[in-house]
Amino acid sequence: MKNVGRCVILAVVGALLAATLSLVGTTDWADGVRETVKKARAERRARMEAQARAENVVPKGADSVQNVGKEASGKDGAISSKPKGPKAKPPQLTGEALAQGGSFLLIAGLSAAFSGGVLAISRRATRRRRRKEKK
Amino acid sequence: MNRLKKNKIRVDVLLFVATLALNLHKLSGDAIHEWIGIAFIPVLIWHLLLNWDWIVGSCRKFFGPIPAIVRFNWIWDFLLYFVIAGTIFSGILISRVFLTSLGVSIENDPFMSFVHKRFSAWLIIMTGIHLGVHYRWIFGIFRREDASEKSVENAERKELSE
Repeated sequence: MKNVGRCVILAVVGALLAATLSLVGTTDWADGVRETVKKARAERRARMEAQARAENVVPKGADSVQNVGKEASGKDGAISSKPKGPKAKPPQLTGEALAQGGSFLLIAGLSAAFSGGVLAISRRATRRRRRKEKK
Repeated sequence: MNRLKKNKIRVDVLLFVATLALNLHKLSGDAIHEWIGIAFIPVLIWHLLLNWDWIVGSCRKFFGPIPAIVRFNWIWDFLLYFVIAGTIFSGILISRVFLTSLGVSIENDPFMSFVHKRFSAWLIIMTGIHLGVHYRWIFGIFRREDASEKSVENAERKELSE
């Protein structure tokens, strides 16, 4: 019963934080971010399209090289009858995927070592100071 | 080793493994990433409930004469909670598998996708620092039981009472 009350407190705090984030999402800055992200996505799509044309490869979901990129964007001219909208990416065992996990361990490990090191040094300094004060 | 400490270790290991798995997004794919993210929520709540005494104790004494490290820990942990809540919230809003399985369809918001990426990147560093400032507790697990009982189990209580 005690834990239920605690969970409610955590949920309320979490909801407040989520509401703050939603509120930030309505600002002009968020609109600017949306535009930037959309632009970056369009550029990436265009790059993929150009690459596919160069290699003459039709990616999954596109009916022809001419329609590459259109199936996801939902623009007119796409012949594909497949459902539109974002698709879940399947798992891929690649070097890039493993590097992602490796970089997590490396960055988290370095951050932990740094903060732990700083803390250990400051604790040692405090102990030394107290010892000197006693003397 | 008492039951509480055993539970804390189990939950912390589970949280770390889940965080690592969540960061292997390209390896796991979207579906597994999203379900691990959802499973992460109860584990995080469990972690907070197990450390509730510390949360309440540090909240009560926050403006009192407590060591700077305890105050830093409190602020850092609150920020970490904010970033985790933001990552989960934005992750749910941009999810493809989880929301579909619930029969909910929300338009993918590029802002939430931006927030999810940024927050998850910060989360790695923040988690690392969170682990670093609790290094005494973590290393205490590997020490002898009696030594850990005396020095590590009560370390945070001592810090608060100093």
